[in-house]
Amino acid sequence: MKEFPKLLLRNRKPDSTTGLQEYRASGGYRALELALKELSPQDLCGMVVDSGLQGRGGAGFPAGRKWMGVAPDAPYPRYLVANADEMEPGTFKDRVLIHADPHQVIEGMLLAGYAVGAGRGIIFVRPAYGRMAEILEREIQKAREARLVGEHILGSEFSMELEVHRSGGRYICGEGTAQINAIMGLRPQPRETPPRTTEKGLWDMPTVLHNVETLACVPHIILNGPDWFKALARSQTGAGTKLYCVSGRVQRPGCYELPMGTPLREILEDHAGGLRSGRVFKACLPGGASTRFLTPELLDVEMDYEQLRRVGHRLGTGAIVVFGQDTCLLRATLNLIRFFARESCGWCTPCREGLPFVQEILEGLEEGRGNLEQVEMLRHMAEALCNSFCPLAPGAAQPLESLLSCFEEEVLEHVRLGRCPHKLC
Amino acid sequence: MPRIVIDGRSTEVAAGTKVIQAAEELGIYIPRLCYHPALGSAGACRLCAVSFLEGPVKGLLMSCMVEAKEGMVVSTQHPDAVEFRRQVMEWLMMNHPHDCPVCDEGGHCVLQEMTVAGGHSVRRYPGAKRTYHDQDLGPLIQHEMNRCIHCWRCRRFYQEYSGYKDLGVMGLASRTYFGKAAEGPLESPFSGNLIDICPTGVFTDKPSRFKARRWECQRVPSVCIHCSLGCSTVVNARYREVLRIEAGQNPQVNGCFICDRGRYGFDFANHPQRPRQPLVEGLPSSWQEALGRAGGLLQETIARHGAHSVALVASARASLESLGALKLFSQTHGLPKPFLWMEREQLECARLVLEGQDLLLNMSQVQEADTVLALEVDPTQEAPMLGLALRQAWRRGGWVGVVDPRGVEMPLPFHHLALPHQEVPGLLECLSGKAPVGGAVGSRPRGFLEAWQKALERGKRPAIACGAMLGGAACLERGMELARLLRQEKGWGGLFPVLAGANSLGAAALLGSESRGLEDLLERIRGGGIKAILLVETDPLFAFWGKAELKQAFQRLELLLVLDYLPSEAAELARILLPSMTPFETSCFFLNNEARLQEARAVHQGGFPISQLLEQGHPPRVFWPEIPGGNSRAAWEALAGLSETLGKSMGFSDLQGLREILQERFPWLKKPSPGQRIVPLGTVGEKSGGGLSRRISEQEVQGLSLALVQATFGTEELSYYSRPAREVEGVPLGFLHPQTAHSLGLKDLERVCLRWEEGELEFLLRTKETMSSDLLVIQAHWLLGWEKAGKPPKTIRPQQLGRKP
Repeated sequence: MKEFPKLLLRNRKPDSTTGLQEYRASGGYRALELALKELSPQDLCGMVVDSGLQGRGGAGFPAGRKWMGVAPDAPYPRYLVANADEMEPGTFKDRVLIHADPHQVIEGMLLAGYAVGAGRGIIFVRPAYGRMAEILEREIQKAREARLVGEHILGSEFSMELEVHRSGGRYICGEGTAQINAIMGLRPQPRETPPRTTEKGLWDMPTVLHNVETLACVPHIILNGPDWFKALARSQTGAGTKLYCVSGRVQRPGCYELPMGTPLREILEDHAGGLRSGRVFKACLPGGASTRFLTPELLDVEMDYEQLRRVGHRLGTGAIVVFGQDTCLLRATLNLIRFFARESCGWCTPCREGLPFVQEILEGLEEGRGNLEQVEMLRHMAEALCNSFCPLAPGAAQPLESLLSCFEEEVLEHVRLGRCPHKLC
Repeated sequence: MPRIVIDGRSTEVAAGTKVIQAAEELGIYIPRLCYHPALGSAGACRLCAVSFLEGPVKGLLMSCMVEAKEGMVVSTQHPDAVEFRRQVMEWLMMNHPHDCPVCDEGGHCVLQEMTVAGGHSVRRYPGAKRTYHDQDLGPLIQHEMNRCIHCWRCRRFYQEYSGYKDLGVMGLASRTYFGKAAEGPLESPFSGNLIDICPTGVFTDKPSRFKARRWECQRVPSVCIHCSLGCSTVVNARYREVLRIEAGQNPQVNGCFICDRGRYGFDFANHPQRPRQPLVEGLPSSWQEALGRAGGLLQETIARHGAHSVALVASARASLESLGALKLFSQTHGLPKPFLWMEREQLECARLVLEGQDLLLNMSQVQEADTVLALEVDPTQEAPMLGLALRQAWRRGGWVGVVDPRGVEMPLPFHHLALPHQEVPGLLECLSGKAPVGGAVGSRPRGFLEAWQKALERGKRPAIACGAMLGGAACLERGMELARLLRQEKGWGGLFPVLAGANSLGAAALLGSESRGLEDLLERIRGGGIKAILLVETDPLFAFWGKAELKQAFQRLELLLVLDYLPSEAAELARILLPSMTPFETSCFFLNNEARLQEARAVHQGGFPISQLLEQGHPPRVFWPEIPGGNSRAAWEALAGLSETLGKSMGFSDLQGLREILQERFPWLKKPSPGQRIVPLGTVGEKSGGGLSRRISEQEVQGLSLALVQATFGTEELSYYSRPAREVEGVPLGFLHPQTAHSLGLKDLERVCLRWEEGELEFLLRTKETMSSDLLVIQAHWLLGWEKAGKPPKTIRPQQLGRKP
């Protein structure tokens, strides 16, 4: 098995969190020192744009372009939000990252704050991650004592305060605009864009919101240069490394940091140890619950945003959920739809009413009460779900749509047999 | 001005117009549930999806969310759009109870229309329906949450548009719930609008529940007469009963909404004790007999004591036709000019406003103002819709300042100066530049006004809202002066007065400034100067401190003739009672606070509501040639008849004839088409340049002054006779500043008595931080028991206030 250099998880240990001293000893906060002494905010923006860093939260929006979205003459105060509301089923990289090396995220936030002129940074943590919130609070305090956070950071003119926001806890809070509302104490509902949050976010002020993994990449880009970062990827279209979360019917489920663009087959077979004995790969969700089922003929795809997009898939959060030949994918889809139906915010019709409708039909099919008309209805709904207010329902439609297009026979068999063809169900 | 093609038809719309609105301008109605012109776009229901074929965006998008842009080609009939909208309807109907046969919304339900239009007729959802708990939202609104399709209009109206927080959204996903955190009456005085904006039957009108289908109702556009703003309404009547009032749409006045007083005050027209038959000495008689008798008595009085012994009295709730006919009556018979019993001060205010008509703003202009100064007006209590308009001005970024000694509450953040009445002129002189900058006003420290002065200087579209009921003419005059100055300086601006009655301006315009006031009337009856009184659509006994004395005085009259549609106390005392028609039964015009001439059309002919004639659950099986109880006449008709019996015709025999005569005498009645202002908004003068400079007059304030004020419910005459309004009337409240209360040994929520030589008033005390500390405010509530009160003092000594033993 080929080894690759690690960035984000280089300080990962099985039993402890990397503290401030250790982080500094491994080269931590040198990027911040460099930036505050020698680089202008514009330089930072330029480097991140050149590095090709894409948002790791799922959408893959270029991070540098997001920074550029804050106009030079935009009003102050400006805010930075680090999104650690990790609720996408199958995704656990943010937890691994922060439990391993919290200062990496803190330094990334400070650099991003310096680049966009934000004086306050907020880390949004889901309630199930109480331990993570404690770690962050503790380490932020340590950083503050070391004059890395707060007024005049490292003796420079740059000041930035960081704080942890503990979420009330809903999946929808992970959506950027809903998260903005949640932090302000409003109902977590996605907002209409434009205006983008970089123009009007928290309290109508410019706000830059990133996934924590995205922010953790920033110190490395500043320290080693954009070209170096870009060259880390194995595909032409990727940049940097990626935390791939592998779960499901594999030998060694876990979070693996690998170069962006590592082929899926390699991730599954070399790193995750292949499928468990007696199991054959049937399909996987390549990027979390909001992505389509990926079938065996695509196993050689290079796992980056662009390569997956070209074959009709999405990298999403990079959470690979693997299903063996013995898993009923209809039941798996039902499981996902139940999650999405429960987590809808209730604002728009497709999500609020459409998902429970889909759930009801899938339950019927799974229990052998389904009919062909309902399969047809599912097809219509999978399409109609995409016309919702925010990406939640379209995300939920991804596995459903691919179930109907790639595993139609399996669905029809449920109708024909009047029961689930799999033993387990 | 982007040009856009919708369904093959091209139109040019204002920049920023949403496609759904552009389509409407072409007469193409795109299905919608959450979109509402007053509430704007939400993008929640997804029903207004259309296909964008050409232009900057393509594909299936919500027409309420996309602004019309040059070059757009849109199809509402594209198969993708039709299929998606069908799917949305199927989703929305999966949990709807399909209880249209027992739902009051049935027949005017947007959801019903959309369901039929979308072709949804078979429910394919195999699961059970979701059910919710319904809440008791008080006596006005029925809650049926199972019908909800989650368009969010109620929350958007209630919280965002009207600024109240007690109704909102709870829960998530398919359990999303709209209601109150705890059951109970809704706090907003605009809550009735929930009924109008809910596209299905979640919020329905409780008083008229199960009484009629929309299509069974006689419906006409009308005008609200429960305050001076003249909001447009739609009256619904069935079986000779006015059932409910809905908001009418008038972009220049009330937009799409009305307040709850306007919505629930109508029931006076159905009052079981309403006079419906002429009475002579308390005995039913024919019109001929009653008029003959009245004429005879009137002639006798005139012969014996002279024409000056007859007093003709009207009120600001009487229509222009009633007032005009009364004026003609007085002239035809050489009687003294009719007068209004409302206070002289009120009439003076109306006269002032008439003189300054060019300054008047309408309510939509108040919403557009960026700086509003409200003087001696408590909008929520006196004219609720003004409060809603001020909120819209604030939502658009406007600055709102209120100068009023009361603890004014409005659903918006505003700057409040609780200045005592006597200090307001000083303030206004200061603001209008007659006094130097940076000084003090009354007891206020120097410099406190700077923020206000800055706001007025910065504002480009200033509006002055001015009440007449507390400050009177002195305040109004200065407010007008300031409005004029601001208009000269900014090229925009004006005055929005709040007057005492629905037709205050009309009364001032027709009757002139002749007003003696009730005290004068009382004196003259006692002194024997007045022997006969004609009360035309007025009740001087309603909320008058001299009620007992006036009642006694009425006994001394040779003739008390009452012509009214209310079962008023005066009507009970009348020697001759002639039943007149409400504005629901005869067409009549009113002139609102901004001199807009508006028609209330007759919805039916009147008569006993069938529900009041029911015998064993069925209308009487007797056939009459006339409408039972339909013996009322319009006031003008009754006066014409009375004139005939006196031997002189007033020169008209029908409404048209009366209007022609009045139009000849008062050309402004003829100029505008109905619904327009009698004088267009004044032309703007040259900008005069000169900034506002200031000076101060210092005044000492001593003692506790008493203000008797209006309340949203509980003080307005017509709603006193309306059952639904009575259910939310509350108790009479009095207000003191907490410090004042403390120094008097009184506490919040105590029953307190104000006693003086002649009488006493008892009320529930509320303390308010925001009010002036040298003032006692008492709501002029009908439950105060005016007959027990003498004339209240203007200033109060501490010992006159005490806890109720």
